[in-house]
Amino acid sequence: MQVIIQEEENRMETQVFIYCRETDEKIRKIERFIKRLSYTMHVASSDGIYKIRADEILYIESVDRRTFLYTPEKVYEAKEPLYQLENQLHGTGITRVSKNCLLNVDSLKHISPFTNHRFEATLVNGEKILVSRTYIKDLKKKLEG
Amino acid sequence: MRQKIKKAFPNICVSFTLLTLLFSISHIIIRVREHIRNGGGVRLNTFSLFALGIFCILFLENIISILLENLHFKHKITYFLLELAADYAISLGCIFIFRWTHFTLKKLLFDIAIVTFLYLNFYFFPVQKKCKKEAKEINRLIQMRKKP
Repeated sequence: MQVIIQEEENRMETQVFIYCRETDEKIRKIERFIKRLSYTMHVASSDGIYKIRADEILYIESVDRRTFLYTPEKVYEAKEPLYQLENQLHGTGITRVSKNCLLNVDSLKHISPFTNHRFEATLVNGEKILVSRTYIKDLKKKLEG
Repeated sequence: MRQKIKKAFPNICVSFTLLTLLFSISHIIIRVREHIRNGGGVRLNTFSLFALGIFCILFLENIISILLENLHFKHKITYFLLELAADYAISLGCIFIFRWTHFTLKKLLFDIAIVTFLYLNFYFFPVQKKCKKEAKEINRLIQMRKKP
């Protein structure tokens, strides 16, 4: 596969073209990966409103009916409830891992068994979150995809 | 064939459980009605009491399991001891309610040993083994995803 990157000073938005004989699984995987990288959302922080990319998010947690997004540097708050964000972020690397938590599978370092069929996920920043047994299949599917 | 067995087995289990429960409950209702109509003692089928007792134990233990899932434990041993104690208390309660045995200190100690043995060998260790295998598989997928 040949990769060509062309830099243009006047270009406003980055565009990705894929030239191929036919769209196979490899191409679809590349497409999904690019879409994952380019998905952005508006979130609030203590000092204003920001636009962040989905791949920047480590995990999203719902606490007392408020939705918080955790990135390696900052914590943001989203207006949308968790289930709505789950639908919006469907095509990205984010998946539900418990009743009140969505996890970005790209931020996963490793996973280890915990009590009661549950798992403890260690993230790249060292934080640990619990993965419920109900969502293990979804997590596997996301990692395979 | 294996897939078919995997699909059929839960269906058979659920059907069997429901039928046994239905039989046990209807039997108790019929016997209590007879007792009200004719007087005399309530003579219950031992199997009905046994089936209801087993169902109660499984039902309550699952509720305890769901409740414990919502608690955060720092150490696995705390969770293990708490669940074992709860399971034992439930079993003991059901043994008493369904009149399976008479209580003596010797029997209690024997029951504790039996429940602990069954819990460890048929629940705790198999579940831990399955979880370890699953975690290994997930970690392999994580590593695969990180590869360029």
